Amino acid sequence: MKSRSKVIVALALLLAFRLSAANDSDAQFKRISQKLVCQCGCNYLLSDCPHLECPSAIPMRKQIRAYLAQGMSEQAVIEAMVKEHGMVVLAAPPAKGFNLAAWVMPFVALALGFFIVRRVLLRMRARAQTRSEAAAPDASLQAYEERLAEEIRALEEETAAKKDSKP
Amino acid sequence: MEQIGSFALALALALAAYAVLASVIGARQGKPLLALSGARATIAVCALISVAAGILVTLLLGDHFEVAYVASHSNAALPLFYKVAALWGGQEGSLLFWSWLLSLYVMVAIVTMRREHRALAPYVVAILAATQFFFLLLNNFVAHPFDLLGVAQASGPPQVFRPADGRGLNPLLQYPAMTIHPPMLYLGFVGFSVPFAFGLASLITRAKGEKWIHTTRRWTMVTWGFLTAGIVLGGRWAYAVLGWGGYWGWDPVENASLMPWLTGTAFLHSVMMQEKKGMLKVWNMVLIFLTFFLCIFGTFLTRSGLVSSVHAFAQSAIGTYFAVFILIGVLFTGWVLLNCLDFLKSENQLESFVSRESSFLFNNLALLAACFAVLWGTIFPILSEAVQGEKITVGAPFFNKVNVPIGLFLLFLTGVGPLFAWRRTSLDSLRRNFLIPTTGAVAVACIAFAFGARKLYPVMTILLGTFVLGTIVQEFYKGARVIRQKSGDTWAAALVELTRRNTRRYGGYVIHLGIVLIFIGIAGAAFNVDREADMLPGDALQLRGYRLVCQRIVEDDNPNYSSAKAEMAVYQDGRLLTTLYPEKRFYKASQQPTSEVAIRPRMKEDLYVVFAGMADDGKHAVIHVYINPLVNWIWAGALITLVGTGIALLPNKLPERAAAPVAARARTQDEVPV
Repeated sequence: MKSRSKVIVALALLLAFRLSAANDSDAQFKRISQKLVCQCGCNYLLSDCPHLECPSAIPMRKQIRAYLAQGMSEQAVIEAMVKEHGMVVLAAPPAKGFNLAAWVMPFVALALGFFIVRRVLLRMRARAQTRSEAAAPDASLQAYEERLAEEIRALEEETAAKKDSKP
Repeated sequence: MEQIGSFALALALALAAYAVLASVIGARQGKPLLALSGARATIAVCALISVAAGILVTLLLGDHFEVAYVASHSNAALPLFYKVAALWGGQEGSLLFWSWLLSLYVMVAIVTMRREHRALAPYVVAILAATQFFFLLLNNFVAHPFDLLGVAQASGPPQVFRPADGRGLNPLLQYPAMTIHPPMLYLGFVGFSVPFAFGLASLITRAKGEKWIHTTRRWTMVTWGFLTAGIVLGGRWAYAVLGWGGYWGWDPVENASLMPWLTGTAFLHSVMMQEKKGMLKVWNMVLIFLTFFLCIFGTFLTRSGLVSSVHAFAQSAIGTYFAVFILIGVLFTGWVLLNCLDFLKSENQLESFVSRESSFLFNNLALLAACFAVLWGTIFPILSEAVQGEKITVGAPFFNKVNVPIGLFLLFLTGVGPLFAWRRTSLDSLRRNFLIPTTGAVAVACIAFAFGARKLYPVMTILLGTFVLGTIVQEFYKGARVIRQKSGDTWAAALVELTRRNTRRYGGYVIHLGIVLIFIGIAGAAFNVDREADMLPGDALQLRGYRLVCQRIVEDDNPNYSSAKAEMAVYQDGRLLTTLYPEKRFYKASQQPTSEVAIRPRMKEDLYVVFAGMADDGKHAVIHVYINPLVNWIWAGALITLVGTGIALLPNKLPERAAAPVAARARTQDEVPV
């Protein structure tokens, strides 16, 4: 009985291990197929190609599963697919050589844009400061401005008085 | 009938050329009647293109398979609705459709704006007519829709050949959302011609005042609305029809529609600085021109065969014509812009970095950076092949890695920008406006984290999305509270009154609300799960809380297609929720298989089931099941965005006290003796 229960436990553990290995294999397959592109011309990731009976995605997926069943690592499977189909099978270019430019340029553009915006903002602020300094009240002009305001007020009162006195 | 169509297109081409010449000569030589005749010629062009388009639709409906276009894109068994949609299903028809929409836009622009912009009008007409002339050149000589099928004879001209049936419309296009997706996109692309024409005309005439920018902004808003609808409908079609569980694949043609949307969005924001402060005049011109040329570039990508795409038309030489048009256009507008830099000089100034002006600049930076990233990723494969001689792919992993951080920065600006004051925002104002939304956002993000959301980008999206939602709700609440205090209205009435008093501002908030929901919906994709299984009737598949049982496979046959439908009973906690019917079809005319996805939509998540085909043994049905959390927030957000666009276009309700001084002045005038 004891040996029988040991066998049962061993079988259960083996089954659990195989299930988890299968799950690992499924997860590996998913990760790999999300790094590759179907070659039927659809531009979709290999995991996503929706074409029924796709002449490219179906054999590619079978090939990946076969490689994983042989015990190949994810990286080795990807390298094997690249060897068979060319670099075009990778969903994104590797960050080396000329292809590094693909990854770097958007951030270079963003940094350059940030630098330009910062310069523009600094220039705008400097212009505003210059303007506010120029608009600061000049004591010599103030007297003339007060006299002008007084004369305008007097003229308006005179006009209003003339209007009131008219029949 | 096709000969009438051909003649109409040829005459339209001649009249478009006349419109350009008459408008330019009339304007430069001070001959208003000549300029007016040019404007009227464009109305005749519209009528003629309408005749040509109407004839092509008639030929499609009448199954005139002797016409090459009809034979290639329609068949006798095609439902009526899709026969009409076949007008834009192929290269020649879609270019004719483009010309037709452009002619309608031109007519509306001229009829509604000629009085308001007298000085600009002749040049606006000339620029639009020149664009129209280009497309009519293509319609007449490069992609002629009325060519007949012919069989060569031993002697004499070829004999017209009429096949018994056509090849049919691409089955992927036989879906309601797909029939309106191209018209919406084209209304967007084509519509940007009008702001472009106004911008260029204002430079050529050195138009004083900012009236033209108000007109241009409103046109851009309408066009942007159509483009938004077109992009979202395309995503919805991809989701509901293609059967891969996603809605955006960063396909080159999808990217081509996104780029002008990004620059158009940047323009709609930065133009506020020109309207309110007279700032960024040169930059706004650049944005208008860039948006228009990106639209043309997009259609060039779709039709040239330069990039491979599910959306692309068959490879043809038409790309060269677009390339030449873009080159001439860019050189001409660049030359005009450089010559007018002195005219566009503006008094750009601001007092503080923490101001609405700076938030708009950073907004533009983010949008243009995203546009550049999309453009760079789209053309890099062509560049790489030219430099290295090796084909590479730039796909979803690249675009997601680059654009997600930029998108999150934009989301942040969506919350803070509207609440910054013009010129300077005080610390007190910052505290007042941002304390509650920030606190709420952090709380919600912590809850999401506690419930298992551990990936950085989705948590950031939830944090920033909640923050933006908080700021929007706060703005509506503050404004409605003031109105309620004065009028005693209900909250609903106060909200409506608030919105009507400033439709642009509050319509803008509604648009932002829609965009936030879209962001949150997209973030849900990080939590998607899926499972595939080979199933016989009676087999079950478990995915999270759902248990799907394959009841049976039903086969069917009709003149258009044959099909196999899987009846899938869906259980949750032992209770039958629904029955779904994913289907596999085979379209006879085009000999093409497709899948019809079955979806159980809920705001929390979609249960999405695909009949992916038959297994190798020919007996098991391959069923692929997805759970897509929050995906419907995208469609709901898009709808709200469009509602907000409509609100923003409405005129403001005049406040009642504004009418009183006018009445008082009128009474005073009556009393004063003359």
